[in-house]
Amino acid sequence: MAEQTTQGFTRRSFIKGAAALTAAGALVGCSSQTDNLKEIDADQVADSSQGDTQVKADAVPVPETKIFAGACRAQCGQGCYLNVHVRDGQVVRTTAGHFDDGPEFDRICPKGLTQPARVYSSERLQYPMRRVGERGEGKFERISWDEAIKEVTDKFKAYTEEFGPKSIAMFLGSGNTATLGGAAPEGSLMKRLLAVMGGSRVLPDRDIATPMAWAYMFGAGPYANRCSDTVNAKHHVIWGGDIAVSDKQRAHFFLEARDNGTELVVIDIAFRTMPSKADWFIPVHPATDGALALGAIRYILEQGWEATDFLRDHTEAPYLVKEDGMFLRMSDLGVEPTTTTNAQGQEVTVDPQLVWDEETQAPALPAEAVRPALGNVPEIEGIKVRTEMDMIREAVEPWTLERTTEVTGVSAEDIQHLAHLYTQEGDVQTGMKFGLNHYNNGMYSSKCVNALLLVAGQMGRSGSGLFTGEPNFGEGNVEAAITMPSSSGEAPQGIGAILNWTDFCNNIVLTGKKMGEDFPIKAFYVSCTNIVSNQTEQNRTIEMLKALDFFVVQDMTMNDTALYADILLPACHWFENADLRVRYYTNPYLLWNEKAVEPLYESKPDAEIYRMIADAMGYGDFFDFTDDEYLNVLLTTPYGVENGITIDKIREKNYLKCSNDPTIAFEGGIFGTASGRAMFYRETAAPDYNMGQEVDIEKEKFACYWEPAKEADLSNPLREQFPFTICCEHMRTRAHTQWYDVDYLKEFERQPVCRINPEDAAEYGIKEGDTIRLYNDRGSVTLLATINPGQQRRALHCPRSFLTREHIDGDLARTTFNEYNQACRNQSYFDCAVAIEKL
Amino acid sequence: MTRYGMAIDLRRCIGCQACAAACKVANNNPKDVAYNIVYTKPDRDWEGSFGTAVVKGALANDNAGGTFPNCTMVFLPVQCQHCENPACEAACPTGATSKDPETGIVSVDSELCIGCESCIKACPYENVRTLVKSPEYYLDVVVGEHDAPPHVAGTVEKCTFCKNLIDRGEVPACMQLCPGRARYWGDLDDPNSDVSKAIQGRDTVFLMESAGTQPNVYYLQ
Repeated sequence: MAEQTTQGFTRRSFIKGAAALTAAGALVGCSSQTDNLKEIDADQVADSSQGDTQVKADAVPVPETKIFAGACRAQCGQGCYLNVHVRDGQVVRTTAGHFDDGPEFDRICPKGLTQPARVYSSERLQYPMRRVGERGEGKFERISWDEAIKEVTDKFKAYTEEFGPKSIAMFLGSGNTATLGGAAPEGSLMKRLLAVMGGSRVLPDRDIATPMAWAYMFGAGPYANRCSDTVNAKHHVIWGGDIAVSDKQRAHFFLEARDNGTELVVIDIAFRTMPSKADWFIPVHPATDGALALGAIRYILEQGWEATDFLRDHTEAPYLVKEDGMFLRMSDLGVEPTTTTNAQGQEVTVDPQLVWDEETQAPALPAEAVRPALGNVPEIEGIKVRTEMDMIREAVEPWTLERTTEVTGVSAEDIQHLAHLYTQEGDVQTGMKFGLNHYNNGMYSSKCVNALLLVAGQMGRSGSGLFTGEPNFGEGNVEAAITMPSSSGEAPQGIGAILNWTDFCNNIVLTGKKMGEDFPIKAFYVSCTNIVSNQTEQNRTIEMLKALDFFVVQDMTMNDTALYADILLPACHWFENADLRVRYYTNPYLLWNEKAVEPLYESKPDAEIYRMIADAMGYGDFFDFTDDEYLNVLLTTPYGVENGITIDKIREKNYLKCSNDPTIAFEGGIFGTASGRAMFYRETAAPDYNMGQEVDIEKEKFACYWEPAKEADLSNPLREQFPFTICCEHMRTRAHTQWYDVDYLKEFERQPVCRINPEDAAEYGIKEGDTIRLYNDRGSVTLLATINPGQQRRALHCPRSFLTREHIDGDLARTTFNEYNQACRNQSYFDCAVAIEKL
Repeated sequence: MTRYGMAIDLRRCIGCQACAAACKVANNNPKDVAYNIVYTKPDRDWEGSFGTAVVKGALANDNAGGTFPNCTMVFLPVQCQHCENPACEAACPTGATSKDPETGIVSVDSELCIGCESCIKACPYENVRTLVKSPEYYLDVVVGEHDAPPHVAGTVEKCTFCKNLIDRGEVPACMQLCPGRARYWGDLDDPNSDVSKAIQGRDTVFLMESAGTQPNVYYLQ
């Protein structure tokens, strides 16, 4: 007979835990969640030798362990399917789920493996609470759900009455990427609540630049070749991403390809995990990858290595641009534009662009030209023109090997080698993550790298193109779910306004005005997000939160944002309710998350909380459907309908593969643009947000424009005062700040540290473990230094997902700036210069 | 006869710590007990130091060796090597430490162990064993497998190759899913086992081979 061992739960350990919580200022509320455990008295513990708290029960039968389907719902982009092991009503272990039809997507990580510690975390919010101290002080009193919902909705109703529904803003966070309860998939019930109430949506504005550069040049996606194509590349070149840390479930595809003979090249600012696996590591100065691409393009053109046929046939490189910056069109040659009706039923003008046909020595439509010229085009009917290719040549002209080396730190030999590799050594597949994105010049750098891929003709084929993830089902039929009428036939009024984070935080809340017009914000409701830690320039975020009339936070734990709440609504853990995970970026499956255990304490599923608010607001009719009915509406995308995807079908195996995209993106060089060709130039461009900012739009038109980052630029005079930049690195053990409360993971990443180059450290007299302060005009952080020869000089790496209370002083997020590029609404997490002080 | 062993492909290991976390939870290990440690090693000297690990007091994992940009960083998962000729077994005065002739698994019987640390001193692999002093747990809930090791104060613990799991046809916790696909497991005496096939044709090294204990954990370069 097997013996059951059980770990005693003592009154003493309970009291100790409660004391620690009080000391932290966070009244979370404590109770024994271990109802299946033997409670043993303190004497028994004291008597047992050397404090051993294990007790053995005699002849206890082997307890049954049930396995439930789980979906890890963090926004790390991996979308892991988990087995949730439940014994005696408790989550005791998690293992990787298995896909019969895709074992290469079986995955789990230290976070997924320590999920039980999130379920049983002492940081969990146990019941609704009301603030009693100052905002941020973390002093709360317990209230009932009825009181909490009444207080929230009384306020919402009063603000709506006096200031209109737009005075209530909501932030759809990404901390629970499930369909019903989560907020990141835009079809969540919170999104519907927002549309029904007519409130304002605050956009997070993260991770925008690099995807925007793809859309700008390649048109509609998908942009990436699928994982199954990775082994077909002869070379992989990874720009801007330590994939093994930030996108770790994708790393094995690169490593398998490498074992099959693919050369792995990594361009990075530090020697981290992927460089340690690389056949060739190219160190580059922070945020200068775009300059490296321009230098490589110049060298390629100088050598005549460009992919001429690809540029002629699959890009707009032969398109003709007049001196005024407009395309040469048929109307310039006296052919009147015509009109036609597009797919959306709108009337559009047709005035086609022209190329120069070398064969006929005459202007021609791109599709009809035998051999579109890439240069040397004569005047056409007295109009001076040049090709986009001419513009590329001109743009890269200053990027000599010498200048490129000076800016990027990459040697002339390495630039030449990279140019050769991209054009003369077979198929190159390019890996991209958000390393370039996280600087103020992110869109320019990304566009320049895209331009290199096009000049080299490394797109639209097996073994080439981009490898960034795996296409999947996407976000569902959000439009149908959000606009669905109520049971009494009333249509939701729609989202009142869409506000950019930086405008909301820096201007609107503080002044009550948006671009000079009155725009009072009275209430702010956030769910599944920790904006205090995860948006840049924390002091500004806090200033905004303190200026609000009313702030409601719905979350699982007492994170940094929860500390500022007026009302706290406790959400349950992901395994305590059922939901569908739809949206993730590297895994082609829909995942069904079964309810494995009952919600602990008074916590409730996120979706149920949204419904309670809707009911109390008098909007119950708009939520008069079952969860399954709502999910089935979301699944009615064209792909979902065609393949008969319903929630019942997904639940047959709890996962369903969605092969709705091609293996090869832009196969045959057919891009998602109007012309079907990849674009280098647009005659008109517009910023993707409007805060009334001044814009030099010329910068945005052409893909080979590049400028240095705001603070990461080594030649910025600011760097005399603030000599170091910080790459706020992704942690292995946290998804944003989630898992901060899991002590197991502190065995791998214990506290905030700053990785510093040994020579820099010596210059400042810094030794391993010294306490240092990083500061600039915005704020500071005090943490421990660790000497890392993998850092280049003047470039620090600090893991970025610690809470304020985990730092010795300050917070890493206080050093970054909250400001957008002139045309791209993007948070620049790495574009941050600081000075160092040894304490 | 079965001779359980492992192969760890150092080209594939990305230092993600999944195997260490899996081990910790499945075995319901107390705070100071780690059977499986993934070191960051700044060189390729297999007879030298394993490197550094936060769980063993380092400030941070993932720091490289060398001089930028000519650096080296190897991730080295280390656990009990379940040696053919275990120095610990010879050193144990009570017979608590023994090698199972049926499986090759080296284990410590907590009923017989007196915590004298002779095995720790004899073993060439630093930190693969822990003398459990006063087991403290991160969680009030008992996690892991129901038959996880008992964690008895005053005894020595180490990797069991998850004998409880393999006895019922499952794999050791660290083997359940390695994100880098770096780990192989099975019967080294069976040429068709995953581990035997993984080793074939590969350049293998053993840690501290000069100690003569004939480890059963192969490292693939």
